[in-house]
Amino acid sequence: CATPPAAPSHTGELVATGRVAVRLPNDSQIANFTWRDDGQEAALDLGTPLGQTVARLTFDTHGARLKDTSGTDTVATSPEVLLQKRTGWQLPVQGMRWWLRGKPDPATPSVVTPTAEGIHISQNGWEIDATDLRDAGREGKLPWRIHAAQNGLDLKIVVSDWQWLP
Amino acid sequence: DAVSDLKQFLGSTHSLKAQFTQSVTGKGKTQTSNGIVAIVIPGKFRWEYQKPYQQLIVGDAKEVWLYDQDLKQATSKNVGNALESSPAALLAGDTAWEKNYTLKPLPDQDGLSWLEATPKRDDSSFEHIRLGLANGQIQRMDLFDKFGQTTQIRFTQIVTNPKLDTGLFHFTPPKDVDVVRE
Repeated sequence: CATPPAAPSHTGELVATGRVAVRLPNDSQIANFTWRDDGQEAALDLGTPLGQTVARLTFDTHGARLKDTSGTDTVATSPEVLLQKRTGWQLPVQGMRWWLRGKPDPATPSVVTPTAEGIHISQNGWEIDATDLRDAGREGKLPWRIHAAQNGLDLKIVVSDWQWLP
Repeated sequence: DAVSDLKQFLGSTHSLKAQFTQSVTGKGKTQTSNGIVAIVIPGKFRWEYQKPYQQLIVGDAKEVWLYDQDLKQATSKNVGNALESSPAALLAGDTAWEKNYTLKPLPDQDGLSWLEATPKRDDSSFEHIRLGLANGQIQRMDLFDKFGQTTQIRFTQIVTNPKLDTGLFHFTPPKDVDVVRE
């Protein structure tokens, strides 16, 4: 069949659960996460190993909203800025919408090269490696390990479960 | 009732080890994991996930380490906030229950006597915790976060007051691991 459509425009929601770690020269954070994307809106839950979500970032092409354990909801145009301001986490979430699926963001230029373990993407100043690609039905292949680096910031993601929710 | 059972547990338990099964229900399929817990009251705990992935939380009086084997990264937080927010640490903090939580007995269920602990601090990561006790032991710990997610933890093969090697409660990061101390 044809390759899966570039934009995640099909109905239903792709859900990934796993762990994310960010390493900065003088800081390091680890969290469990759940990532949901229905093609319109994406949502990132950051939480503890015991399953408590401590922050939920939802965003689409228009803007972003973040709710934390104090219950307050904050909105902003940039999801990255909002996430960092409210939680300290520096994550390229708009790019991750695509990188998490082993694809480049179609909105900006990129260089994509297949590698022995998966695929390498250079985009927006990031060097991304999506590896441990496993068959995921109509989604084609999905990576279970993503590494992204950009001057001084090192991001590692390990997926423990990919789900497709109709 | 469960509140007096909890007091009896705290009064008579100096150390504990058990297996646990954790299931988190939220959006999508329930995520299940299991591992082992070891505790020396007050303040020392080891919460080790073994399946489906390996993640280790080790706390002593000073700091709490979180090590994720797949991510090859370890972070250490000072005990202050980590102790309050992580229920694993609560099991180890004997005074923490009364000091930080309002305790309310609930009706018996599944052969256990239950209590609900609501954090007095509002920035805690959960709405409340429910403990299910039987014969002076915590057999179930259910956590309700502020986003509608529920974590159910079931303890089995519980050994009360075992002799535990203190090495269990120290963490030395393997060589190839990124480490940052807070």
